[in-house]
Amino acid sequence: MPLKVYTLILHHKLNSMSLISSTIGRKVAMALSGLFLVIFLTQHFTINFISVFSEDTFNEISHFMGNNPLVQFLLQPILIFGVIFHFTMGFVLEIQNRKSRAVQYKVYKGSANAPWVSRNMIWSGAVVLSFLGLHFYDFWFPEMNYKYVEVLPLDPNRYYEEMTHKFHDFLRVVLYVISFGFLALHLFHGFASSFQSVGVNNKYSASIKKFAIAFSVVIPLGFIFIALFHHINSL
Amino acid sequence: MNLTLKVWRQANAEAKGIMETYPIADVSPDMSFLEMMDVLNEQLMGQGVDPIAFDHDCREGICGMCSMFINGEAHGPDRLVTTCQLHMRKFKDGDTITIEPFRAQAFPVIKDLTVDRSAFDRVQQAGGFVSVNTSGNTQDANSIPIDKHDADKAFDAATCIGCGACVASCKNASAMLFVSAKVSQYALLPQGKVEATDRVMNMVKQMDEEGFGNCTNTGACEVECPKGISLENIARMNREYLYASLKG
Repeated sequence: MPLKVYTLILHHKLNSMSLISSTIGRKVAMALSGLFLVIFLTQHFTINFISVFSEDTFNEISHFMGNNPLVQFLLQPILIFGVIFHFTMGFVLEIQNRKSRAVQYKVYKGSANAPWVSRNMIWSGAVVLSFLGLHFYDFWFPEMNYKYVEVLPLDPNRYYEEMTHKFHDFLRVVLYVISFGFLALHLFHGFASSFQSVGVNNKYSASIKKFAIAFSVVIPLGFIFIALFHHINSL
Repeated sequence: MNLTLKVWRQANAEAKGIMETYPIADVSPDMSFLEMMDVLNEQLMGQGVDPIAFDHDCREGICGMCSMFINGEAHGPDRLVTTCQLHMRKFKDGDTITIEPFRAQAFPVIKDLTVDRSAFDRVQQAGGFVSVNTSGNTQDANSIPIDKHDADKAFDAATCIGCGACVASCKNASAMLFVSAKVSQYALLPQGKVEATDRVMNMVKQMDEEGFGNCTNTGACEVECPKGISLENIARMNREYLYASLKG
């Protein structure tokens, strides 16, 4: 192989590696995984919202999502990887950032120059992660148990009832409402910020920010509405 | 004005520092912050106490040498000014003012309020320049047409004085605003585009090696920057870096 070509390939490999290991590379990775989760959240919200209007349609879509091989064995693993990647990277970056200033200031007025939400993504993210634990306990683990451990017969009409049953418990609804509040805080900074991370800061940025803020308020409020709706209906 | 100053005292890089409290009387509201520090040092020397070491040079807000973290903010509570251009009229009689050095692993304390910001020099040396052909046949820069918007943005980026307030303010001690300003001022001009790929790769690599933190887009750097360097520069550096990485 000509030396020049080899050098070019080596150079390219080094550059690709730095894309993963550099501060900018990690920042872009956080942004892209976050945007991917925003897309998933939109899809999840749409399906949940349907439950408010039509029990049958909700059952139909849930049955499709729960049994379609493409969704189950391709999209679901990608989603789980995306979630694990996003929070693991978040914790790794937080540790690195704390090391970058080992001796702290005696007085640090963070509120003078940056909003609370942007400075506390690790905490809002940690609450959302804890909520995911509860959410998996409520829905994902029983679902996996139903389908793959106990291998119970297919029942396309069980989903709506399983869901509303969970929202009967008032304490669970309170935990869901609190978690969605923190999700809103997390999205409030994270969604718009991800565009800046991938290099988008232009004449469209003001509109992107407005959309991102609207999304971060509307979607969590919508989830809260759905939880309260089913709780009140179950009384 | 009568003030109480709480100042970080540290004998040298290895010594353990502590906050010392010094009262100071009859401070004129027209004094600059550094003049007030000069008066305090005269007072301390009169008492046989070692004067407080702090960085300063031009005292005109253009050299980027002064570097104090005052009441929890880089260069104090005023906006778009360096410490030397901060005036005592921003404070009230009876105030307690906390003064600390810029803090970051990449900016180790030398003594008291002076910090070693040579990490910035090394980042600059890694690519913050245009290699000039000095053969005598170089084209006159004024003969190259440049879009006014690009020229303005390049000039805005070039106003960065490298004081380090961005690093000091960032909760992650990230240097991205500084590095992005240096990347941008060349990336926007035809003379700088020739080496754009290597420049951004090398400068970011050096930035990471110096131990600065990751940017989380809080925007604190932009607010505290005495020269108003915009976050737009960080987005441009990210684009330049992604392009350079993928181009290989």
